[in-house]
Amino acid sequence: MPSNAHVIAKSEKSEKTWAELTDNQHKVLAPLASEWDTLRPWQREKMLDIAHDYPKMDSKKQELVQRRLNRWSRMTPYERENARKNYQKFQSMPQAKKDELRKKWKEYKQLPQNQRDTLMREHPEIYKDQELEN
Amino acid sequence: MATVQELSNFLAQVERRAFKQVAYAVRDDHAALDIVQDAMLKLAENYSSRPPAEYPMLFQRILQNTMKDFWRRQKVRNLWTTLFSSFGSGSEDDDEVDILETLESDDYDDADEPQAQLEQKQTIAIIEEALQKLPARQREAFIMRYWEDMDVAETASAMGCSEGSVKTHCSRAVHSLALMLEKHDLTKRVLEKKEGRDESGT
Amino acid sequence: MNQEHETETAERIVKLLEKNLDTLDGEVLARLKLARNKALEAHTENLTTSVGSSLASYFGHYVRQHRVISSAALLCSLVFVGFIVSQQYIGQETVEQGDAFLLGSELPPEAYVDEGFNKWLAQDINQQ
Repeated sequence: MPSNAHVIAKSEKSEKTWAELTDNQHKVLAPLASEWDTLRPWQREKMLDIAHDYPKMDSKKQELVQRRLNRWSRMTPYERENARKNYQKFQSMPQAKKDELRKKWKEYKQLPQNQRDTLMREHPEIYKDQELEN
Repeated sequence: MATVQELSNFLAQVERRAFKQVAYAVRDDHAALDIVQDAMLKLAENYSSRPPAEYPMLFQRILQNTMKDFWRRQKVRNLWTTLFSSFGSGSEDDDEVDILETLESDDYDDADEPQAQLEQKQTIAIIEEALQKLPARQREAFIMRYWEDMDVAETASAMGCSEGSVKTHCSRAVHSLALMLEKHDLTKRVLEKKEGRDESGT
Repeated sequence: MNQEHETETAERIVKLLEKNLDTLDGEVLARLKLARNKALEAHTENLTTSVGSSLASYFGHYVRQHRVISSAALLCSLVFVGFIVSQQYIGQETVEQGDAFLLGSELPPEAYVDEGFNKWLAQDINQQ
């Protein structure tokens, strides 16, 4: 089936199994070793992009990347998309604001789990508008 | 599963109307674009295995839910800008566009425009304003039935209400819009059969 | 207003609204196109996944695969268009745009999407 070659060529990059990755890619993506072959092709491609940008970062950031890779790979595409959007907003904040948010995140993580669960479930009273029902 | 082409065609066909529809509800072009994008993604990710014939109804349902999420998260979203703008640089806020304001200012700016075109623009501005003021359910019913050309059953399914409610919402919406046109003395312009203006080449 | 008159009124209003779509801002149209391409990418991801998982039973899934192949050319061009469009947006942004930088940022990725955190912050702001 000749047209099959087309498909394979197109997704060659993302079809690579763990064994087929380069040493450098192995090093960066090591936290994903056990689950790599189960990632969806599109995801693999995004992960390879991460490996590509990795050398441009300082060692502290590189460590963060590695620590967060697993969680990142398990988020839904929709969550990742939202995270990208908010990350961009975060990036445009002045450093003082960034620090403040980071502090808040730390405080939030220290709240007891049940309090965080309640927050998550809580039905907010922010339907300012009567837009929802009438 | 629908082909990429089918999904692409569907989205290309509805995207501009969807944007307008959401913009009427949230009155913020940027938010409207975000909502439309989220809705498109959700359709593609979760429902692309459904027959394309169901897309209009599904997409409307997703749009409604995404808008609900928007209202729910409005404060949350604002947080990123609130925190940001409290430091005074606030460039983020400058992006916000008030549709009505834009339309109004357009009306004043276009003194050189041919009269008929200007009239039409004003009429549209008034209709859009009226649409924004409609209760949300009426607006949605009106848009789905008449702009998206969905039948009563599909609209009811997308809105999660009875067919009777759809009819009532639609009827009330059209009445309010007609009243608004009347108030501005535009009934003739919009409703009279002769549409020479359109064809005469403005 | 009877049903017929109602429908006619609605149709005329909609005709004007439809006409008004032609005046949409170029930037809005570009964003819509970008959104569409993202959705199509996500759709493709679904398609490729189903192909991947069905490789073992290749013959049983001939039809599905056939569809994928027939849309591969379209896909390539879509991805390409998406790339071109996205390049226009990258220009003025800082270089730190990729997922790698997001992962290396001061906040962990989950902080950007944690509903509870967002609500907690909103409460906090209200109390100030």
